[in-house]
Parts: sequence; structure tokens; C-alpha cells
Amino acid sequence: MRKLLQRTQSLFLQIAAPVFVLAGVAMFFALEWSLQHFDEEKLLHSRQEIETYVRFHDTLPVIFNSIDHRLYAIPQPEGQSPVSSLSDTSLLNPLENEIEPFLQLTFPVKMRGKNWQVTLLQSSVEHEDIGATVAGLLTILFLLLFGVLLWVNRSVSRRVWQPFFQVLDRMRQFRLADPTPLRLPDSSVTEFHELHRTLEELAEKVQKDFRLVKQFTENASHELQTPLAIIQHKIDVLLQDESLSEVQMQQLDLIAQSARRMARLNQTLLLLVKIENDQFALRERIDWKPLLEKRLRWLEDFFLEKQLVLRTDLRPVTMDMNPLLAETLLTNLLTNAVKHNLPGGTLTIRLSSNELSISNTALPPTISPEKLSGRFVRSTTSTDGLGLGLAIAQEICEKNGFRLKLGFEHGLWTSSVQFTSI
Amino acid sequence: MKILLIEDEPALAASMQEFLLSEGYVVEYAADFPSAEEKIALYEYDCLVVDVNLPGGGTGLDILHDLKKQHPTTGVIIVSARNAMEDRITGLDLGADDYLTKPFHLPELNARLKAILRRRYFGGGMTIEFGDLKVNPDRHEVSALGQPIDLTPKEYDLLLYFLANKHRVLRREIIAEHLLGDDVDQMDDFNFIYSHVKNLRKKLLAQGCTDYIRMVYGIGYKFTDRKS
Repeated sequence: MRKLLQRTQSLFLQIAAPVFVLAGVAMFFALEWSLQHFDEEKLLHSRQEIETYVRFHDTLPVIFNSIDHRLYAIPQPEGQSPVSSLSDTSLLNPLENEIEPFLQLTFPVKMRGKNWQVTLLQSSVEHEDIGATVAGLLTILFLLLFGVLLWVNRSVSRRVWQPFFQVLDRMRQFRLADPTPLRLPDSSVTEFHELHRTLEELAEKVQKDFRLVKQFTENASHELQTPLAIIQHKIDVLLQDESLSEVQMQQLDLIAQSARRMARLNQTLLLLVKIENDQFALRERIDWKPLLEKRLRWLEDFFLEKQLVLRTDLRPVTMDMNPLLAETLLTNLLTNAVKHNLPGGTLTIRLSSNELSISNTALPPTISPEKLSGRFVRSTTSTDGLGLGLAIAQEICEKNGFRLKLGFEHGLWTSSVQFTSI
Repeated sequence: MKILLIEDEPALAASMQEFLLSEGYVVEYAADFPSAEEKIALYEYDCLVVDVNLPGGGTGLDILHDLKKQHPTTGVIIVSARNAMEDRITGLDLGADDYLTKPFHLPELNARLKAILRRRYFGGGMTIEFGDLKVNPDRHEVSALGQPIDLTPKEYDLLLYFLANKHRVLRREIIAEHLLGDDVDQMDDFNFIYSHVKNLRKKLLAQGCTDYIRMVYGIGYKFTDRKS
């Protein structure tokens, strides 16, 4: 995954770099050419001046011969026709002891009755230096330009894309179950304006669908209650019939048990939806210790039945929470710890201001502990559970900013609620 | 005893009505808020069984509120959806005697009704008598053939439940729900009922009381003195 900015910049680099290099090379050659041309022109001018001077004074002008600029004349041998030529040549620079490039112009003049061949030499080493300097300058300039362009591009992109990142942030905070609609800031940029409006519409539609699905679940659960209640009532009535045989009675009992199971499933789903919908607005000061002790007394019969050994280490903890949810959380975790416990096993409960941890002896779970808080997930060692108890505990924890940790180690199953955010 | 049943589900209301009639009550029935309001304005009842959610512009709690202004002595059982703790709290604050959560078992309704009627109309002096047994609910005293019997709270509760639903087959689940409340549906195993019944029976028999508890094909119990 690459950032869009990186992508545009690398594209920019890919296109701009060859253009810059080509332009640089072309400029260098154009400069070279024009410098050369300038030198040639200068030499030709000198020739005209020298010829004019010779015509009037019949001698060569006195020119200070430097290393870079030299003028000399040699008598032309008899029989040789006069030629003029312009050529490149190389001469030794005695000062630097280096061979350096020169531009050489030779032309014939008549002086003191003789033919002379005049040679004008002009060093072109300076031009090469200029060329190198210019090339260096150009490179620096280009790199600078390049850098500035990249930086400008970057900061402009950042500013231009700012609304996009704001939208991303908002989308991250967006919760489906939240009743408030998604509101994105108005943007004067057409593209962002369209993006915002489209996202708002999308969010509204999704929220509406979500609400409908939840409402449907709630209504369906509600509607199921009455027929289930009637089934239960009718079985109660039917069971009073003394002419029923043992087998018929047992079958009625099984029907009643299934109806009860369905009623319970229904209740639980309804509870789950209500928790998700935040329909438990009532908040009270919850004193966990007495609440826990009350639940433990309630479970006494089951402890006796399974001959469980109970160990507790409870410290007073209070916090604001919905009382029904607090009780449901405790009931679900405790009944799990009893149901999945082994006969004669142990149940250890620790309550401190940081966490509530409930450990019980159990058979190793057949699926990973973390997965058990999913809906309708259960370990095969359980006999009759709905597979919703931990899902509800998880949901309650999430709504209250707690963390539910499940784990199995050394034959002990531990569920702990961490009251981290309190 | 005259009962007003306020329930908007006709099928449910019919099965409740049938059951209450079989228990010897006079039962009237209202299906929505206005007809319930009309009935409580016109007649007097011993107890109301009222669903919180009603069609017709008001809730069961509104009816309770109006009833208590006109007939403060009438007993009331609120029937609410489960997980609606606020309804229960408001209901009890408004003077309801008890609440049931849907769906409930008819023997449970029966036991609650009897307890309310006993409290409201017979004062402290009332005793329940059944064969060799005598129970004083206000003092939590049980005796068989004049000999006091010491019962644990759960055994006592169980006995009272049996007495309220005598001659009736009671499944183990229903008994468990009565003893431990709705949350018991989290559990799968109700064998503990067996030990409570066993202990209760042992204590009754120890005083020479007739054995009224019959096991019904492993599905539950029946408390009766009739020969089957």
C-alpha cells in the first residue's frame, strides 16, 4: 500500500526527471555552440581590423600576446597560394603544462611587399570552463526547482486532501447502532461535496436498514412470546389429565422443555438486541460485592448438587451501571462457571477494583476461548446451553467499557471482567 | 373471589381465564385500556392481573394508578415483559402487590394470587389446612397433627407452592422457577429439586403426617390426598 501523494510524486518524478535532463543537455550544447560562434565572430572581426591596419601601416599591429590570445605572422613560402582557414587545434599551455584547446584562424596579408600568413589563436578553454560552470549551475538549479516543486506539491496535496482525512476520521468514529445520523462538514470543493453527500446518504440508508433489522428482531421476539406462553399453559392443563399414560406424560414434558428452551432463546435474543440498542438507560450505583454474594446464595443449590468447593476473595467495588445489566453479567458468568464445572470441582471468585475474575475447574474447551463469546458458539462439553451467555456478557462489557477476558489454563477456565475504564 | 384479567392477547387471556375459572375464581376480562378503565370504574374486584403493554391509549401502569385512587385495597399483579425492570419498579411503587414476567406458568400465577388474596383479605389470622397439615403463612409456621415442623425457607416455600397447586401435576422446571426465579432458566439441571422434595417429605413423615407428595413418572410431583 502506497500513499496517493507518494504515487503522484513518483509519477511526477518519472516524467519530470527525463525532461529536466534533456533540457539541461540541450541547453549545454546550445551554450557551447553560441560561445563557439561568438569566438569565431570575434576572430573574423580581428582579421578585418588587422587587414585594415596592415593596409595603412604596412605592419602588424602590436598586440600583447597572451597565453590565451596570440597573433603572429610568418612569411609565406613562394609558390604557395594564399589560403584562409578556421580550425580547432590544441596547444601546450606552458604555465599549467597542459594541452588546451584553441581556435585558430589563418589568413594571408600583403605586407612590405611580401606575402605573409597571419595566424590568430584564441584559447577556448574559458568556454569549456563556462560550459562546465553553467552545466553545474543548471544541475543545481534544476535540483532546487525539483525539490521546491516536490515540496509545493506535497504541501498543496496535504491541504487539498485535508477534508478527505477528516471524512476518514468521521467514518472511523461512525457507529451503526448510533441513532445520530452521520454529518460531514460542507466542502466548497465539488468532489468532496459529492463525496460527503453520498456518504451521508449511504450512512442514513445503512442505519435505517440496521434499525429495521433490529426492530424486526425485537418484534419477532415479542410476537413469539404469546404462542410460546400458550403452549406452556396448555401443556400445564393437559398434564392434569389423569388418563394420560406415562409415555404421553414424558412426551408432554419434553414438549414443555423445548417450549421453555425456545422461550429462553427468545428472551435472550431480545435482551441482546435491547443491550445493543442501549435500551437500559437507567444507571444506579452498583455495589458489586453484595450483588455477587446474593447471586452466590442463589446458586447454593447448584453448588450442593455438584459438590463444588467455593473460594472467594471479594473487596468492595462500586460503580455506576444499569442494575439489570450488572446482575445479568454476574448471572451469566457464574452460571457458566457452575454449569461447565466438574463434579467436586472448585470455583474461585476474586473481586477487586480492577477486575472480577471467576475461575472454575473444567474440561479443556474444544474451541479457542476467545471464540466462545461469539453468538451460538459453544464448546461440545456443554450439554444444553444456548451459546448466548458469553455473547451477552461480552456485549454488556463492551457497553460499559469493560474488557472480558476468557482463557483456559491448567484445567481451570477463567472469565475475567476488567473494569479498566472506570 | 373476583378477578379482573387485563391482557390484550386473546388466546393468552383465554388460557389464563380457563385456568382461573378451574381454580374457582370469578374471572372478568378486558382486552384494552378503555374497557379496563371502564370495568374498574364500574365494579369492584379482589385482584387485578394486568399486563403493562396494552392497546388503546394507556398502559397497565396507568390502570394501576387509577385503580389505587378508587379501590386502594384491591390486589394487583403486574405482568411485564422480561428485562423491563423499570416497569416492575414503577409498578411496585404504584402499589402493585407482585409482578410476573412473561411468559409465566399458570401454577405460578395461582400461587401469587393466593398469597395476595390471603394477605389482603384474611389478615394475620388465616391458616391453610390440608389433611394433617396446618400452615400459618404470616408466622411461617408449619405443623402436622399438631406437632410443629421445622422447615428450611426453601422447603417451606415448596410446601406453600404445593398447597396452592394441590392435586396438580407440577413439572420440575416449574418448581425450580418458583423457588429460584426467572434466572433459573440459565441452568439445565434441576436435580436439586429432588433433594428439597426428599427432605420435605422426610420431615413431614417424621411427624406422622400422611404422605401427600407423589412422584409423577420422573417429570415432576403432585401434592394430593386423592387416591389415583
